[in-house]
Amino acid sequence: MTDWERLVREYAPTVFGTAYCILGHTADTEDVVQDVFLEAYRLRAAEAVRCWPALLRRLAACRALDRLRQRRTVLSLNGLHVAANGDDPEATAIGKELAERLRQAVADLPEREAEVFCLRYFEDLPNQRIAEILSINPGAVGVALHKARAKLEALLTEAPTGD
Amino acid sequence: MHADKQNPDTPPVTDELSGALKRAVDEIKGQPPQPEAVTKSVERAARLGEEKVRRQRRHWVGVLAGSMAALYFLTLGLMTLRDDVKERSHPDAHILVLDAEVSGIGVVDRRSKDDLSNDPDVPLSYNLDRVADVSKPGFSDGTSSTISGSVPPSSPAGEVFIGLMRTSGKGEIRLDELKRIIREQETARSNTELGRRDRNSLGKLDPIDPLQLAGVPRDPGGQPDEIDKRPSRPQNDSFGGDGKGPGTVDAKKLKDLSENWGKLPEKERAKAMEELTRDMPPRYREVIEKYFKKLGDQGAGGKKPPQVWKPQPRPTFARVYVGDGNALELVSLHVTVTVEGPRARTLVDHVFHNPHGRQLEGTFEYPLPTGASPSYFAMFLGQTRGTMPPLFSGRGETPPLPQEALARLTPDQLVKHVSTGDWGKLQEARVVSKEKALETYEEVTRQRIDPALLEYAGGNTFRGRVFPIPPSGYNRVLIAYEEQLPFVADQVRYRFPLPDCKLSEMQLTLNAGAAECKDATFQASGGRQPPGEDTGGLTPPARLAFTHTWHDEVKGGDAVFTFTPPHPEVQAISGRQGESGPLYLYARIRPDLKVEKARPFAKQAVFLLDTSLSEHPDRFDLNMKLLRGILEADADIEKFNVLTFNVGTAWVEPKGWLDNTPAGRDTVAKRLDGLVLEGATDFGAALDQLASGGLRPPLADSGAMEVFVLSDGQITWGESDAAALVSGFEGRCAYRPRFHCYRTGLGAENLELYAALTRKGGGVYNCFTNDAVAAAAKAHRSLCLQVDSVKVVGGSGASDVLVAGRQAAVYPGGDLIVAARMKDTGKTQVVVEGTFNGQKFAQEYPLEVRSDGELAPRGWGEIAVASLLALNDPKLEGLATAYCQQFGIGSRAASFLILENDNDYKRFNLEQERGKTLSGDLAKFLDEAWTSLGKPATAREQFVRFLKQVDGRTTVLGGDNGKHVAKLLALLKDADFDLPASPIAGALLHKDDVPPAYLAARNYDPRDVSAYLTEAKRRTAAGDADGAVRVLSSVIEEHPGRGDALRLVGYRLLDLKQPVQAVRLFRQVQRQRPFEPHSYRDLARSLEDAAKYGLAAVQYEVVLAGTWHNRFRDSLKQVAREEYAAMMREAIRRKAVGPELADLFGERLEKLAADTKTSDLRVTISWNTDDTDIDLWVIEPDGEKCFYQHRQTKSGGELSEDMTQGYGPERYRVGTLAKGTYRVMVHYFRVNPNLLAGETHVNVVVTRHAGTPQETTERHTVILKKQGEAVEVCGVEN
Repeated sequence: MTDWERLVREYAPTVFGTAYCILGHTADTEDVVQDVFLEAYRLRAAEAVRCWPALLRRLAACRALDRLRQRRTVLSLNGLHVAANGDDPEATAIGKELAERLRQAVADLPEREAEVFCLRYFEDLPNQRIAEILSINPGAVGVALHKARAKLEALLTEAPTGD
Repeated sequence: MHADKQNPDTPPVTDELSGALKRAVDEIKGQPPQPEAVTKSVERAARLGEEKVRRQRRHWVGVLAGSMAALYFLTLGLMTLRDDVKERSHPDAHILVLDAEVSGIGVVDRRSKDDLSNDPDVPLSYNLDRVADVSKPGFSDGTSSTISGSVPPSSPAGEVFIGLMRTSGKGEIRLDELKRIIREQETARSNTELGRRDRNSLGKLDPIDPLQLAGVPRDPGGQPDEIDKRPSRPQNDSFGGDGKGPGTVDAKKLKDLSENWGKLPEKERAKAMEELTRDMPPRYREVIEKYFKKLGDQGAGGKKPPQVWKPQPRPTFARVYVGDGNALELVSLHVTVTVEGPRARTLVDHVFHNPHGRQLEGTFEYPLPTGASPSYFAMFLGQTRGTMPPLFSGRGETPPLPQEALARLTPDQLVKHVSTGDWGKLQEARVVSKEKALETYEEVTRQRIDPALLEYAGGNTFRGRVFPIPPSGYNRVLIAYEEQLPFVADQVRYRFPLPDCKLSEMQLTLNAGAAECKDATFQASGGRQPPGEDTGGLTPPARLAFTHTWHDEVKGGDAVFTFTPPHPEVQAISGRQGESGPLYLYARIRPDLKVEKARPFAKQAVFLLDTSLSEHPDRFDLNMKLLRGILEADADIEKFNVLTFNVGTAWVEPKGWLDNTPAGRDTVAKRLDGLVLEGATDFGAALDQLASGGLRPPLADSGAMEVFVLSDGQITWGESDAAALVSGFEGRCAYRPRFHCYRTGLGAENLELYAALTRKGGGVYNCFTNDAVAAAAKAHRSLCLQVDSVKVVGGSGASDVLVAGRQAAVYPGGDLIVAARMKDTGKTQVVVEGTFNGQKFAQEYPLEVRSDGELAPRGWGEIAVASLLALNDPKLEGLATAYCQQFGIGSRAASFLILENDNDYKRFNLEQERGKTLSGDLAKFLDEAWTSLGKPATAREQFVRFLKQVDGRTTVLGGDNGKHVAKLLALLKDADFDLPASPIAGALLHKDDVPPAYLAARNYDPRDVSAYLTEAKRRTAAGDADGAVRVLSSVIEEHPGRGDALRLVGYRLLDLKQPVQAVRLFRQVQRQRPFEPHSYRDLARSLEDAAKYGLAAVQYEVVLAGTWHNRFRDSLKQVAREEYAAMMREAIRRKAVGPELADLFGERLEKLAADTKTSDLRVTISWNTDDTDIDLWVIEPDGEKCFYQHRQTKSGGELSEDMTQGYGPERYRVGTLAKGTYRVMVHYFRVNPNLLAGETHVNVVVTRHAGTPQETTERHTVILKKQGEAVEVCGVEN
């Protein structure tokens, strides 16, 4: 197994998981994973990477958020993940809609806040680790998280708009 | 990463959340990805290591898909293929290095991977423009199943590879491997969801020349998921086989075969054909057979006719383009023609189908016949639905009207019989001033309302934009146009070019007044006699009605209606506008003149021969016949020469005059044989050459010269205003030219230019058939009637008597169009007075004015508008627009625009001209205008006038910064506005002078720009800059008047160091899109390159002073300010401006100083397409990426604000460079979402040491094709 293959096999599932949480859409996620490793491959060739896990996490979150923003302009709500769990179709539908609204709301956040939010709550990372990944100080992570939570709570409690 | 996880003892982080947010996060985390998707992704990513860059593979495969035919042919014939690769000299080699620089086409080397990685010139990164490497594991051992490579996704190198294999034959690839790849592609194609290429263009995929098969350097669908969805073919149609057997006809054998085909006995031919086509799918087999059959015919026929190398004539029917070469499918076509005396109205009712599951914006293009102008434009927006609804439906209980009754309705009555339930809301266009129409359209499209626009696109093409086209829906677009019918061999002829495509239905109905048409014939040709019936005859007695219906397929050709008018010398129609509006008369007078030979006018003659790309090939042949015919018939022409022109000019005999002898004529014929038609049409360049004394030796002392115009006169480059061109020419020309023009009915002719050229003598002659050539060739020697006056006398009286084209001379067989406003119905007569053969001439033409004609009022209106526009005075454009509105005329000055409702027209103040026509006599007004017409406005006056027009909306002059513009304008002298002459050298280009791949590629799809760009690149590399400009201009010729095409070529011209030509293009963009600040910035940059600093400064000041639409953001001004400051410093340093301007620059620099830091590196990108988001990325040496999400880097790099909707610019700069390499990349973030796909051309300017005397600039142009694509443009070393 080459170094590259080892790297991919070790981290690709996590990258997939991060992107999938953000996108909730398999095909998009596959594309993002591909993009992330493509970028990683080039950086590897340039020997510019000090810490692979951090880089990949960051790339995963950033690219998935890029894709999410981009998608809003071209894709409607089709292609959403079909949840297999739960027998109550109504509850499933509500849950799905809630998830999608959160994703849309995250896409509307400023970049930094969106990244911090995703790494914290989708990836369960401590603030210190997020700070390292994003190369910012831990205080800033706290501030961004606070802002993000406040905005998202406000957005999610609003009644959904008609469009 | 596992170490990142939180300690299991700590509470889950989601406990920090509450309410809906917590539920949402839990929901998301509770949706696990499908394990197989994860596995698939991991495997794909792991393969990146071996394939290097997956994305490139996809592109590369896309290229392969597009060139399947090419490759397949290669495998069989043009390339030596081996089944056994053991003999390789490099057992471990699996990389091909392709160098685009060497020839544009050629394999230069094969190298091993290790070898490559040690070579600093061949970096492994994937997006180098100069060198591309293709690694293909299958090459070495045949075990791997992929071709992958680092061909730049968008650089020509990717396209070059195909041509490269074709010409060099050095590549090696196992046949079975290649077949397998192609088979994979077949599968990929049938599995894709999007894209159904227009059937009509698919029809053209079958080329005749295998070179074309082999040399197609393009990627038709861009990427696999945009390639057509066609039903998968049965297995025997795809490229199967085991690769054994005679699949290896070598190049020599093929060449021998093609050269000797004509001489081979029938048996041997069959045998060779069998061998050649054994493995081929039937589609290609047919093509090859056709090709060889053609060779055989030529061989048997002996001498081949002179050839011209150009693409097929343009389609003569409407298309709706939806991006990336795709067009909507034309499903049905209903044509209704009303012939009334000398005029006809054609209503074309199109049904298009959008097979895509997406809403789209389309571009509707309609080529009108000569002299026709659109009179009606409407559409039904359609709905998503499975089948096409009936075209017409009855109201309530009543059944739909029968076809004959429908055919008698005017367009606006007809649409009332269409069910809006079936077809969606009816939207009818109104006429508004062109510029306002465009701006409103852009504005409204952005608000997602549904407008449409039909505007004059140059040539005789009208272009409409249609939005939205509903997914999987049927759109109905109606366009009507009116034209004057020409006399062809003493009969009046109407002609409708039939499409050559599959349609579910086409019907043509023609009706005409029986009394006006003697010996009427109607012929719907088009190959074999199609099913359907002609219902000729008198139904009802007063009307002639013909109907022809095609089912399934229409095979091109023309539908032709001819008749003899009862009184050929005067054909008049008359009628009221509306129920009780003014009464108009429209008459064609053909004075009865004896053919008498006039005294010779001149001993010398020049033929202006159009060699531009769009010149109709049949027309070119006819031109050659005319050339010979004229010279043979007119022995008084002693000397002659031929000036060929496109954007450049070239004399056929550069040394001087040729004798009008058989030898002289043969010389010309020989030199013109095999000519390649290319480039745009710059009629101004031809006139400049003619006026500049390019004639050697000069003319004999009489100073008279006959000039024969062998061109359709459709101008696409440089000055396009006929009146301005001709008055400019007359001002400079030192001798007395007399112009002769020919109407041929092939393609569309620019009658406005013909009229302007012949206003002072000469004539326009008809030459519609081959039989007419002999007469037309003598026509210029006939005596003509000099018209002094045309009056309408008797009866109730007339006013506003207009003569079309202010025609002053009539040749025997020629005619005169007279139109007037009449007081009342009744008998009257037209009196023509003048001089013929030295004698007074007066003839009366009696006619009766009636009130029941439909087409007369608009006929008068057309002449009124043309007369006003011929004056070339911008002040009169409002008046012309008012007439356009009154009569419903689409023209150079006015477009058709559809908006949602009345309020929108009011809101945008679109109809301010309505009703503001002249209250007095228009004829008198025009006479006065012509006599008081002073010298043409100077460039300075024109620009100031333009700025004043623009000022209304963008407050360029009125705003705070307007004073800077005014100050500069005051300081600049007239001479500062003149551009240095920068003529492009023309060339008599023959087919052997250019690569066959270029000819094949443009023949394959003349609208595809990549063929021209590749060829331009090759010529640039060969040091032929003028040749490169000529080939680039073909892009404009194919896409006349399109902003993105003009910008694309403009940027390339700057790259080619042709700033003056670029200025001309960007001026055109500026006139078309004055509401976009980029129009001024682009012009400023090209003026700066042309060292016209004062003029460039004005443009920059306009950018800074204007109030632009907020989508353009302030960052544009910031970037412009920096560029402006840099330019002023440069101008002062070079002492390139006068002291006053230098002082002003100094003053401005001081004011702008805050914004003008020097930068070690500055990178600016701009792109050519609107509504597109391109991002600039700069990766700094420490790996930090400066891009729209991270605009300030630690080392001081700084990016301007993200431009997401326009043409840029985005700018990166850094004060002091760190050690290492800065990698400059561009990323295609978002295409215009309403197009299927679209490439965009990004102009990248890299400036080192900006703002210092050491400043250097490097330019790159990158083509981005697909959303999400990122390309590295260059690396900057420090």
